[in-house]
Amino acid sequence: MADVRAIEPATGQVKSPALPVALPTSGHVRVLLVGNPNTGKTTLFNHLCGARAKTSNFPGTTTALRTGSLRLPHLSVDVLDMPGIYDIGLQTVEARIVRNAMGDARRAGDLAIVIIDAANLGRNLVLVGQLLAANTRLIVCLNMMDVATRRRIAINTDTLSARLGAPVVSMVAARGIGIGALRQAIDDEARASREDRPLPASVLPADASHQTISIWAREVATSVVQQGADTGSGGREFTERMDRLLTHPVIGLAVFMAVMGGLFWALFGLADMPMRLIDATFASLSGLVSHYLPAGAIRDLLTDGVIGGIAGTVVFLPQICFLFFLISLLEDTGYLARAAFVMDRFLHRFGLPGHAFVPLLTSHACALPGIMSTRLIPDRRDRLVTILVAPFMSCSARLPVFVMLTSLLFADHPILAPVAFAGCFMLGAGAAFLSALLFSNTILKGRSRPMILELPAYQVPSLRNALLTARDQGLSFLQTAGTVIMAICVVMWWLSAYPKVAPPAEAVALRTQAAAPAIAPDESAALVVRAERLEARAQQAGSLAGWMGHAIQPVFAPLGYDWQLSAGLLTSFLAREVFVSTMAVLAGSGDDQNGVIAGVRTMRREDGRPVFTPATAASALVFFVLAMQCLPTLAVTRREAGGLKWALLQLGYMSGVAYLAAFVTFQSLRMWGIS
Amino acid sequence: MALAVPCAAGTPVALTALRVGRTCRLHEARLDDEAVGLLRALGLSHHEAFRLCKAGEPCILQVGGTRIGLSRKVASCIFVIPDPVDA
Repeated sequence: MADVRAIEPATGQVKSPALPVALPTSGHVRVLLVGNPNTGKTTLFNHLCGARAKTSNFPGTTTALRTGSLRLPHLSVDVLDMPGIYDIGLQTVEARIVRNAMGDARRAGDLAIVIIDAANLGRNLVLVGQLLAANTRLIVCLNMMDVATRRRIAINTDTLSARLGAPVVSMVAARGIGIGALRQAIDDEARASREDRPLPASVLPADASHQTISIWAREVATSVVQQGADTGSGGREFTERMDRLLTHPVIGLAVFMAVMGGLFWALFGLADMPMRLIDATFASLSGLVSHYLPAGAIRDLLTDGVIGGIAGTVVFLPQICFLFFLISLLEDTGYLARAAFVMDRFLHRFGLPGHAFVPLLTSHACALPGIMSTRLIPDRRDRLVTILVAPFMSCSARLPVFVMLTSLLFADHPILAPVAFAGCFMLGAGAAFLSALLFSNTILKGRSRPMILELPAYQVPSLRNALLTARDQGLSFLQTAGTVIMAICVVMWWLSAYPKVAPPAEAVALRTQAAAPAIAPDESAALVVRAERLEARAQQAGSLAGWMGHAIQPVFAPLGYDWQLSAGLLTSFLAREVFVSTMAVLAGSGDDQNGVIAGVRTMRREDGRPVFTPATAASALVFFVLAMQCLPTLAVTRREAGGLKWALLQLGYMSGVAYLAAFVTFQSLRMWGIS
Repeated sequence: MALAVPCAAGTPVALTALRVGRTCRLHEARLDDEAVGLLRALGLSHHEAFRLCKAGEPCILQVGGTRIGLSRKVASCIFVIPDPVDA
């Protein structure tokens, strides 16, 4: 069984306790998996524990500490998957985590399994040397032996074991080869540890410098490797040709756009059906509760608050799972590291790193997975800037609002409506980039870190790893959805549902008319529907949310909004798409899109003027492009940025920008005679 | 911080000035500690010969079994001594 323990992404601190598994007791040991990025460390973890973790080709993606358990004949083993590092002495978050964990492990007599790339022995042995110098009990896994064999690299493992003073196990983790031998080695070393058998004298002094260790690593590699005639030139040529193409300023960009277009097309296509299914399931559940519970506050709380709140969040789960599934496949191919360079040329100008392209693009589908995927970004400043601006990207939840408002604005201009629609996306992206530039020059001063990346070998992606990644990320999302988001949803429902308002006289009359014996069933049902709409409208107007709409209307008056539009903005604070349903309720229109637009177009203010004039609709459109109207996003920002202050800053900043831009839009249009 | 190495033969040149396919050794990296540490951890040291696979943006190096991508800005701060064998 695996357990995913979060490391604070912002600080790199492991949440207390420092290591989540208790110190070893009799019959129980702890093993730390350590290694360079892209050596198959997490694949090995999955094989050992049957547990779920992420394997990445993109340096720096392991930001969660995963633990699993392994049963051996005589003992049980807790396995900890550490972040991939190149050098334990680096001042990076990942190196700090591993340094702390290794210090604990040494004191507790734990084992470390160092997984190294057999085809790149010289570089990988530096980390082994650092751990040996620190007097750690090690098992060395010589992974990717198949790649080494293809390159005609033969390694004398007995000599290597003797030189290191530690057991060496050859393996191909991707195919499960060598797992049995490793289990045996763990058993042997764990017994040695429990019997307090001393470690062989370290081959390196504790104070060995990096240079000393590098020279030692190269010398050891030379002494154990027999390099045959090089037959790998075909592979190298392929890699070089692909690199030239994929990082080319024009071709690389075209490939990037095609890949990302395909990714999002697949994302929407794949996620659509499960999203509908989730929607329908929760609707049925709500119907069941309504059927079996008597009318009243408890039923309303369960159906509209709890079930509605969970449904509104869980419905994003397919998008999140499919997105991470597809990104994992892309990472495995080795493409993402190349794509980061393609985008770095553009994003660097705005203080964003090339790595930010995945979160920003993802945010076009939904800001939640977009913000979660900022874990790809190694630098904290870069990550924070990206998190803060990601919700500016127009997400799918904004689409119904864009459709409604552009339809209101350009009802008689079928060409202008889609242009305005596209303009919304461009406005959002422009605001994101300019805001990134602003943050980079103010509160998060600094340029994005110049790109230095290992370019992993091109390879066929692992379906298994992609599925496990999707599962991990989905569970992580649900953990958030199950707590903060649901609580907020219930509060927002309560504001919209209370106090209860008496049905208006017109609705009572309609119901009386519908109950008359002479009336046809169809006609009766239609009258009931009309009565329900009137009652819902009266409820909205008389609820706390409606009252607050009246109260805050003066704030939005400079933007041209009346109390109804203000109430719509308020309720859509929960989620943007709620704006459309709120306006539909206030307009007393049907639920389908055309009915809503037709109904909203006829809405009137108390003085008889239309609610949506061209200037008001344009102002509202700009507001919705730029405003932070999504509570789940704020909850995820708080978690990923490492503090409530970042979520509040995001809310305050985006709301301020939205207000200012909407104000300028409305007042400018009025000045030009468009009201 | 800069990694400086005595230059016995050859003239140090910026990595951006090197021709694709040339092998060379690191002379100096005029970058901050973090970047220098990362380059060193990736195997780019004055002991290790490496090959320039691609110039421009990004600049791609082959260091032993490792392929490293560098932005042009980073590459312009790295000075190398072309290998005398193929210089």
